[in-house]
Amino acid sequence: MPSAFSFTQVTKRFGSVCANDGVSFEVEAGTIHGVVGENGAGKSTILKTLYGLYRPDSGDIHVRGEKVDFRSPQDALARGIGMVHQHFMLVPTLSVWQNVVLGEEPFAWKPNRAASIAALKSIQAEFGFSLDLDARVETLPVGLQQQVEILKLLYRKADTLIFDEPTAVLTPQEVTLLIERLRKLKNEGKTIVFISHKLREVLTLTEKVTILRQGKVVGSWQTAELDESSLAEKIVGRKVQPLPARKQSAATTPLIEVKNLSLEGPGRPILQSVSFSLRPGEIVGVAGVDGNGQQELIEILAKTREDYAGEVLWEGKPYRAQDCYRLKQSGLAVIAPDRHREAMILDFSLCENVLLGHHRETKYGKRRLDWTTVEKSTRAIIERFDVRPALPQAQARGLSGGNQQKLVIGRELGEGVKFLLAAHPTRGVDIGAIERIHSEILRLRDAGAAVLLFSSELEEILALSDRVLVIYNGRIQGETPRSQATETQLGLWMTGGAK
Amino acid sequence: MKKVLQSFFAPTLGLVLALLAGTTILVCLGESSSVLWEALYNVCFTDFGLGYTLFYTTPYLFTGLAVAICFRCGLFNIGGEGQLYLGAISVVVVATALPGLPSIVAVPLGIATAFLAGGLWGGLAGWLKARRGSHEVIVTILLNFLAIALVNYLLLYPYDNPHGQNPETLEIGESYRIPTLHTLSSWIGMPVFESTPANVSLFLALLMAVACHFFLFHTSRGFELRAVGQNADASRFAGIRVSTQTITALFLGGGLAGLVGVNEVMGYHYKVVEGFSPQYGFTGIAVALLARSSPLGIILSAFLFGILQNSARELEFLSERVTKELATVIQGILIAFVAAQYYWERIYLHLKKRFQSRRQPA
Amino acid sequence: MIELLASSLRLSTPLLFAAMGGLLCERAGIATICLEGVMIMGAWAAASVAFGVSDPYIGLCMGILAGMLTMAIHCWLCVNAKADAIVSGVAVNMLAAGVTPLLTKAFFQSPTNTPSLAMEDRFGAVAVPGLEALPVVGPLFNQPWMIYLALVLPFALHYFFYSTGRGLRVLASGDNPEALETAGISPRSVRWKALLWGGALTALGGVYLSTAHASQFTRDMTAGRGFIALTAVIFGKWRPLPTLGACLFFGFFDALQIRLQSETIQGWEVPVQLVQSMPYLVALIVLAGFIGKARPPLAIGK
Repeated sequence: MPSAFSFTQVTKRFGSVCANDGVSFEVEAGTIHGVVGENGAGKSTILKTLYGLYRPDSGDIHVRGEKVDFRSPQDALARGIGMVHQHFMLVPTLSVWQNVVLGEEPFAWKPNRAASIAALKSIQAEFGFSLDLDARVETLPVGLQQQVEILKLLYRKADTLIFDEPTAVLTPQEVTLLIERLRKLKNEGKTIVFISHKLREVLTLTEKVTILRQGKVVGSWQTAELDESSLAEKIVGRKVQPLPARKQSAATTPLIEVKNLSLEGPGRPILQSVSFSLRPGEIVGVAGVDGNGQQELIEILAKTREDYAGEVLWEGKPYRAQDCYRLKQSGLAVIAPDRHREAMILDFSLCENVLLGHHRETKYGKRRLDWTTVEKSTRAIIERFDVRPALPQAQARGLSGGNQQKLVIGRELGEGVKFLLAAHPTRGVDIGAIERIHSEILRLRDAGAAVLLFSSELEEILALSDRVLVIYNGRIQGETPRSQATETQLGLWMTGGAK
Repeated sequence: MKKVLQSFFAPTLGLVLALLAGTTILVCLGESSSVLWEALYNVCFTDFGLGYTLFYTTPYLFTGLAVAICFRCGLFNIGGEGQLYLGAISVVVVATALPGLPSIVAVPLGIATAFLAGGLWGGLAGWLKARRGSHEVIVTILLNFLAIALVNYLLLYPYDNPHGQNPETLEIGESYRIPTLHTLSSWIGMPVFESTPANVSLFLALLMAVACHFFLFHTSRGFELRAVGQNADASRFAGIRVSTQTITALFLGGGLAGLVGVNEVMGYHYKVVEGFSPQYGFTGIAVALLARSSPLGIILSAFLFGILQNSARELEFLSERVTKELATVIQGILIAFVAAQYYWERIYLHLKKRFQSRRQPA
Repeated sequence: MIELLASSLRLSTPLLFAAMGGLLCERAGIATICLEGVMIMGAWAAASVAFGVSDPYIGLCMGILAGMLTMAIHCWLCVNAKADAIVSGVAVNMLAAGVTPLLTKAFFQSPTNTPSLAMEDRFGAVAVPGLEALPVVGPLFNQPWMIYLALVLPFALHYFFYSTGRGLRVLASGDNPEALETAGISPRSVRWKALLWGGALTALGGVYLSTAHASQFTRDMTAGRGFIALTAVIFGKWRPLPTLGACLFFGFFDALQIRLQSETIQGWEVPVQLVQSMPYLVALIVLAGFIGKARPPLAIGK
C-alpha cells in the first residue's frame, strides 16, 4: 500500500526536555494506525509536528512521498492532514456550523449560513452524521462535540485524520460508537491515526501499531501479532507490578454521610438529591462522564462552596457549620481535580505550595510565618516522595506533571488524614508515579481512612475501589460493590441507563 | 543571581529607553538637552531641589504601595486618585469637627482618618467586585470621578475658605500639623531642605513599605492575599475566601493611597486645594510596575518618580516650550516598556544565547 | 423635551463611536481601557489639522489616523509583546493625556486648548430632507452627519459579527483563539485588523467632540467618555444593538445633567459638581446592579 506519511529521524526538544528523539515510522494510506505509549512518551508531540503545530528541530517528514515543511496547521490541512485534539479546539459560544466553517467560510463579507448549512448537510449525509447544525457547541455533550471536530476535518477534505486520545472523555458506549465511525471513515478511504494509551481499544481498532517510549520508537507491529500483556510490556519496558492484596475493612459506622445533596445551576439542576455514605477503611470510586456534577460534588466536599441544599455530615456533625481549617485539622485531605488550576500555584515555590492550605497551622507559626519549619516539611516531602528536582525554593512550574502531583500528594497525605477526597489523582502522570500514588492511597485505606476517588479512567476506579458509584446528570445512577462491577454495567449507568 | 539579573533587565532598560525618549521629545520641541541636565542636577543635588524631590517621593510611595498590594492580590487598583482625594478631605473634615485636640491625639487621629477614608473608598470597589461581580478596573475609574466631584463640592460649599484665592478648604488647626523635615533637622541642629514642603510623612511612607513587605511575605494573611492573586481557584481549595481577600486588598490599597492626604494636608498645605494631585494615583501604577510590586523595590522606584516629577516641574520653569506633562509622557512610555517585559526577556535570552555560542564555538 | 432628546443624541454620539470601536476590539479578545486615550488623540489631531488646513475632512482623516496609531501601540503591546491589556491600556491613556498638551503647547503656544475653528471648518448640521420639517421631532433630523453614521454603526457591526465570515473570525478570536489557530487563521492578524478598525471608530468619537460638538480641542475634553463607553459595552453584554441602547441611555443622562445645571429644585440650587457626576454614578449603579452575570469574551481576562 502507498505511504500516507512518514517520519525520518525527527527530533523535537522543549528546552532541556527531548520530547522526540530520532523518531522514524511510516503510516500506510487507508489504514487505521495506532500510536501508543505512556504519558509523556512523545505521542502527541510527534503528530503535532506532522500537523504543523510544532516544527521539528531536525529530521524529515514526507507526505505521500513528498518532503514537506509545515509551518502552520493550514499547510497541513492543505495537504489533507487534520487532527482532532485531546482538548477540543471549538469555540463554545458559536454554533456547530460556525465552528465547522471557521477559517474556510463560503463568503468573507456576505451572509454565510445558508451556503454553509447546505454544504454541511451533504457531508453529514455522506458520512452518516446527524448533528443539529444550529445548536450552540457549549450545549452539546462531549461525544457530539467530538463529532463537530470530525466534521471540521471532513469539511476541509482531510484524508488523513489524527485522533489524539479520543476516547479519554467518552463513556464505554460512546467509545463503541466512535470505533464504528472510525471504521466507516476508513472504508471511505481515509487514513486514521489513533493516539492512545488504552490497550484494549488499540487492539480492537487498529491494524498496525507504533510504540513510543521516552521519546523514542520502540517499534512497529501488526496488531494481530500482539496481545494485551505483550503490548503493555512493550509500552512500559518492564513487567507491571500488580497491586498488593488488601485487608477487609471492619468499621460499620460511616465517617461521612451525604444526604439529599442538591445544587441548582443556571437553568438546570447540577446535583439532584445525591445521598451516599463512606466508612473508615474503604475506598469508594465515583465513575461518570466529566461534567455530570462531579466537579460540584468535589467542591462541596472540599468546602469551597456553600450554596447547596441538603446535608453533609462528618462523624454526625454537619459540614456546613465548620470552617475549612477546622475540617483540615480534623483530617480532611483534598487532591483537587485540576492540578494546575486548583491543587497548586505554579508561580509559587515548592515551599509556598507545601504551605498552601496549611498556612494557619500552629506549627507554621499561625500569624507570623515560620519559613524554616516550612522548608523542613518541604524537604521531608521531597525526600519521602522522591520529588525532582529537590529544590524547595524552585518554582513549582519547573516540575514535571508527575513530580508536581507527588508534591501535592505529599502535602495532603500528612499525619492524621481521616477522609481523603482524591480527584483524578493520576491524571497526566507517568506510570512510575501512578504506581506510587496508588500504593499511597491503598496504604491510607489500610490505615483506616475513608477515601472518595473520582476518576475518568474506569480501570483506575476498578483497580482501587471497594465500592463504585456512578454519577449521571447530577444523580447517583447506580451503586455496586467492586466484586460485582462490570464495565458494561457501569457504562450503561454512565449514559443514564436503567438501574 | 541570574534570575535577579534577568528581573532587573526589563525595568532598567525601560527606564533608560523612557528617559531617552523623553530627551528626544524635548529636543524635538526645540529645547536644548542641556536644560534637561540642568533640571536633573537641580533636582538631585541641590538642597532645595532634593527637598522637593523627597516631598514628591512620599505620595509615590503611598500610591505605589496602594497599587502593588492590589497587584499582589491579582487586582488592578486604578482608583488611587479618588482614594487619595478622599483621604485628604477627610483630614480636613475631622480637623474641623474636633479642633481642640492636643497633637498627641490629633496627629494619629488624622493619619487613621486618612487611611480609613481611602480604605473605605477602595473597600467599596472591593465589595462591588467580590459581591456584585463588577470589574474592579472600571469601578475604580468611575469611583475616581465620583470622589473628585465630591471633594470639589465639599471644598466649594461646606468647607469653603472664603479668603482663599483658589477653590480650597479652611486650614486645619496647629495640632493636626506634622513637622517638615526642615523643622525636624533644625531641632537636631543640622537644618536641611529649607523652605521645601518635605515633611515627616516620608518616614510614615517608608515604614509602610517595610510593613507591606512584612505583611506580604511573613504573615499568613499576606500569604493568603498573594495566593489569591496567583491563583484564585487553588486558593479556594486551600480554604481561603477569595472575596474576603479581594475586599481586604482593595481596603488596604485604598488606605495606603488615602495616606497621601497626610503628606498633603497635615504636612504641606494644611488644607485641600482643588486639583492638588498631579495624577499621583495613576503614577502609582508606574511606580509599582517598575518595582514589580515589591514593596521594598517601591522605595527606589518612588524616589525615581519623585525625581522625574520634580524635574518636569523644574523644566516648566526653565523652558518656554515644555509643559509638566512631559513627566506623564515619560511615565506612559515607561509603563509600556515594562509591560512589554516578555519581549525584552526574549531579546535578553536571545542575546545571552548568541553571546554564549560565540564564547564556546561548537 | 424634544431639545433634551436631541441633546441626548448629540451626547450619545461620541459614546457610540467609542463603544463600537471598543466592542470590535473586545470581541477580538483584547481588553481596551485605552478608549479614552484613543479618543483624546483623535480629538486633538482632528482639531489641530482642521485648523491648520482649514478643512474638516482632512482633519477627520488625520484624527482617524492618530486613533489608529494610538491603538496600534496598544495592539503591539498586547498582541506582539504579550503585555497585560490593562497595563498597556493605562500606558496608552497616560501617553495620550501627556502628549496632547505638550503638542498643543508646541504648536499653538497654549497648553490647554487648540484655537477655535471657524464655522465652515467644522462639521455643521445636515438636514435630512423631508424629515427636518416635521413638527415636534424636526430638530432630531437636523444634526451633524456623524450622528447619523453613529446610529447606523451598531447595525453594521451586528451584520458584521453575526453574518459575515470575517466577523465570525473576530468572534472566534475573542472566545477561543486556539480554535482559530488550528483552523489555520492567525489570531494575531485578526486582532491587528480588528484593533486598527476599532481604533479608527473610537477616534471618530474624539473627532466628533472637537470638530462637530465643540469647535476646538480642550484638555480633558473627553472627560471619561472612553470609560463610560466601555461601561456601555459591558452593559450591552458585548453585543452591538444592546450597546446602542446603553449608549443612548448614558447620553440621555449626560444631557439631563447639563439641563439640570441651571435648575433649582424647590428653591435649592443643585451643586454643579454633584450634577456633573451623575453619568458616572449611573454607570456605577448599572455595573453594580443591573447587568447580572455578563460573560465577557472568553479570551479576555486571561
